[in-house]
Amino acid sequence: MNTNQNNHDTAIDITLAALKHASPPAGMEARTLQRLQQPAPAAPFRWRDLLTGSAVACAWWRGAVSGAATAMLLVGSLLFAQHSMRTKQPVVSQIAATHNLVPAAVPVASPGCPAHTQVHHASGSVSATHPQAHHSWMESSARFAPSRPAPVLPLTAQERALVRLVQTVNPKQLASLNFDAQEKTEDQEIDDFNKFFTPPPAPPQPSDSQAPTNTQPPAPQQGEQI
Amino acid sequence: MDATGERSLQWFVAERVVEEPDLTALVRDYSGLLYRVALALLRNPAEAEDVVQEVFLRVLQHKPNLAAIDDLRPWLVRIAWNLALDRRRRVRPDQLDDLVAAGLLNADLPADQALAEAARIRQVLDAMERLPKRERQALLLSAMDELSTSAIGAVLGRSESSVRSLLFRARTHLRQRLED
Repeated sequence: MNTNQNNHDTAIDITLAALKHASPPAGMEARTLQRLQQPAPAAPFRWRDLLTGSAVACAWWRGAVSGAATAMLLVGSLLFAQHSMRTKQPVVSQIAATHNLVPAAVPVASPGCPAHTQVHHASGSVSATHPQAHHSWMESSARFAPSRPAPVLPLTAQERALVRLVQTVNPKQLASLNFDAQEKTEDQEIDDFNKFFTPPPAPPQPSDSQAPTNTQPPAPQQGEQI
Repeated sequence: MDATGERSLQWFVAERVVEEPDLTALVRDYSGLLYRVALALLRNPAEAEDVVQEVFLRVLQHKPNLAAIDDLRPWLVRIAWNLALDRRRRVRPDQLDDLVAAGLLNADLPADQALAEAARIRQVLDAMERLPKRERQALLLSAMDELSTSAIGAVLGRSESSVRSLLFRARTHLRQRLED
């Protein structure tokens, strides 16, 4: 074990010594000096050097300039993003407004009016001489109109009655709102009424022994020949 | 300009000339060390020589500031080290291991002994490649006689004690890997 370790240590030392005593190739110094005497090729101009290296000598200046440039870039991109967001919103509202208004803005020729006089339903205004100009004015006004949701309309009288009905009436009555069920109920009621007021059937004819004292002859049957 | 002004300017220029290191002397003094540092990392003689030349080109670019540098050795080694690390991403170090191992040997050794030593060096280099990066780098730099522990720390950006600890762990791990 120790012998092995010594062998390894020796091998390591030999390798390190070999690296230590490595001799440079012959003529390296001369070649190096020769290369140093050659005029250095003009370094290409680099913006990076201007910002971080040769133009600014001190290290802290380099950091400060780089930091300032980065901060300016960040602020610029932030402002640009905000600006683009602001401009996008009106475009969306313009598109929505255009979709809503363009069908309504189709000019309709009113009877009795001259052909060039047209009424625009959306605005109610009449453009007698320049329908095209009016149309473009409509588009532009729609484009720049503020984008707001439509206000909630009040309920009609019928809707209010329905709401009241739903809130107050019992379910049985609510069910009667169904027209079929209501019709059936009405029919049933009519049948019941008719049954109640129909005359009772005629009593059976009495026999001879039990003949009534009524001397009047019976009324002749309809269609019977006298 | 009056005479006093001229004299002070001459003195200033003369001082600067004296203080600025001579590039030829720098090449003579440090090219060998820089070559070995680059070779230890790259294991490719041609690439190592390119790194040396590139280091001195950088020195030439910063020549006016050289006087302000206290210790040139760690500064130069650090440049070479970083350039070699950049190149190492393109060059696989095991490409030329056999040739490098043979080249590292003493030319006076008999052929059979040289072959055995080359195989051994190759084995150690392979095991070194499997070490953690920091340990491997500290071990390779420790092979350079000219670099003290503090200089190695300056190159790697670590404290002296950290470098010592890295070296100890590197040797232990390397021994374990050689035993496997």
